[in-house]
Amino acid sequence: MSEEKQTKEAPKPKPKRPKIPRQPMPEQDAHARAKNFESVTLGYTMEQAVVEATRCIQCKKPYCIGGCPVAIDIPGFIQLVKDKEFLKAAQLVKRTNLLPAVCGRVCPQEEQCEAVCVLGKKQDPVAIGRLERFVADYEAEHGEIPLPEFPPKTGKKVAVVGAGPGGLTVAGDLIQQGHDVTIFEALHKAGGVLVYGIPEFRLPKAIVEREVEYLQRLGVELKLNHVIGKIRTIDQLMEEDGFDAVFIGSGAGLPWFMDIPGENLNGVFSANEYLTRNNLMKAFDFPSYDTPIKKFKNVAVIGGGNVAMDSVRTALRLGADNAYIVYRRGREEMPARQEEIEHAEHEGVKFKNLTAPVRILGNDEGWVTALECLEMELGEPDASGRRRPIPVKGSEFILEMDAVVIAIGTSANPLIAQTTPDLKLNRKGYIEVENETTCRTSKKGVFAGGDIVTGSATVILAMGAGRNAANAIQNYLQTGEWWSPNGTPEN
Amino acid sequence: MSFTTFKDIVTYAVEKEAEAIRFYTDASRQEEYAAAKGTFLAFAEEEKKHKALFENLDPQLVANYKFGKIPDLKRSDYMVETAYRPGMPYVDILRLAMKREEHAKKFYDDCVALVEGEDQKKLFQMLSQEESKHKLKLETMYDDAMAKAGD
Repeated sequence: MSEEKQTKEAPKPKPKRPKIPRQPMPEQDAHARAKNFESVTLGYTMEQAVVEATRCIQCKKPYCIGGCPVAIDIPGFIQLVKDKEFLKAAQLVKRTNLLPAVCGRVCPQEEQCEAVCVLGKKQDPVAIGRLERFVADYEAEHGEIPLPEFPPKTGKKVAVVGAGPGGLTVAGDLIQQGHDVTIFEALHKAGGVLVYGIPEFRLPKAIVEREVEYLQRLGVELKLNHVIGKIRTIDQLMEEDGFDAVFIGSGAGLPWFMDIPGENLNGVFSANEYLTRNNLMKAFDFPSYDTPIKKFKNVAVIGGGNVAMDSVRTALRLGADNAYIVYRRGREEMPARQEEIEHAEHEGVKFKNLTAPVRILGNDEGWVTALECLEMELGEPDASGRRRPIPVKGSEFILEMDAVVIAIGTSANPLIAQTTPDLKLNRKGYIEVENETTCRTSKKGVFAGGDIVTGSATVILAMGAGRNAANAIQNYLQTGEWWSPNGTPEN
Repeated sequence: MSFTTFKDIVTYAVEKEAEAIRFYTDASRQEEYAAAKGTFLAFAEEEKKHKALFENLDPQLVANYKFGKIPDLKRSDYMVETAYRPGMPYVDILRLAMKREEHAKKFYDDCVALVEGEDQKKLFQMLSQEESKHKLKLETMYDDAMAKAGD
């Protein structure tokens, strides 16, 4: 060590930044909201948003961007919020995320951008999702972002199968590259799981409609009530209808049942049906919407994922006296977002964890009357270290019930695969792609992403796949380069 | 059916494995997609290993066989019967296979109770344990797939 350095004064410690707590999300009162379908969370006020934005320390190496499947410039938009440039912040977010009002509400930020927020090492991470929602909602209320400028038309046509989050992302990205994009949606409304799966109280449908309208303003053509595999096949789209590339984002909408006795009784629903009746068909708003749904007093929802939480909270709002989650594992293993589990608890949902249904009982008229369950305990750790639940001998008990909603997972609808013989599937029946970046299937010019490739996942992961697929389609349309399974490019 | 000799039992067990191999191989032929074909063929391969093990059984091997506690997740035990249908989803294929193993294990357990000779009992216990291992393997695959989906 040099003499000079030794004589230097010790550096003064940096003044500590005052710790500002993470701003809480305003919510409807739990008792009140359990009886209505209005939004549970109310969104930040302008003041809260600015305070929360000041918590961001603007890291030189922002890990949060890497934590976001669509790589939003998170520090950039948060700085704009701090500067009260809310519309500019929304514009910046929309550069990479066409559905910020959706993602701000339903993405599991705690597992993605917020999980890697540097602030989170010592205190609560910045509420990135809440800020994203704030800027998107602000933009919706205070004016529209001008449409981006497009390059000249390329003359290329792209078909997008499925108007879910993945398909909407692909469409938004490719229309901005100058291609003609047509979305084929099987249902009568665009949005996929955003409209049929996620309830109004978590994601108001007006928000999805607004985002879809924005895509249409960009020039995306939307063909509703078009079941690809029935009305047109993938081959027909490419060979007869002149599409140069196809993206398949048809999701995983085939529900699983438990295969236990009694599943054919009246009052047993798949979560898909139960939620679709309420969300897409608006059964909760009868008689404004002419969709029937019986009012059940005691409802059991089987499963511990987000779909189960959506179903059980819907049951409460439809007037159930008792709404149960029946889950064969422990709470810590539930794949649902912590926030959704807590919301359900606060609203009065009863949790029967380490409980497995074994039989549904019914009356002479064929309606559900009860659910027979078994208590479970965790077994010894297996080779993977996992302690799996095993039944406790003699622990059978009966829960009085008049409806059972099964939310234990879904798989791919086989319709497209059945009508596209050269489309390779994986062991579980999902479409096989070269890798997550290229999204190329075994069929030239056909790309796939989202739940139809990975199985049920999250909205933002489907959007991330859509972003990757859009980049790959753009490259394909420009170069014509394809791949072959032996690794050599082919044209 | 009566099992009077060691050979009777082994012959029966080998035939049961051969039937399982035929079942899975036939199913694989009926599947349109390579992935489902592969799943059934993999099950057929597992049964071939069992068949080979049983074909080479002799009283000494059974006498030295090590018994252990095989965990039983009982995932298939509360399910209704299911039949093969072409194109059935992956989880249904697993359910079908789990159920078959459950029945095989139960059959050998019943046999243990029926026969009187200690050697015969031990042979059936061994066969039951082998089926339990298959059942556990399949139920673990199934449980993993289902846990991820929220079941």
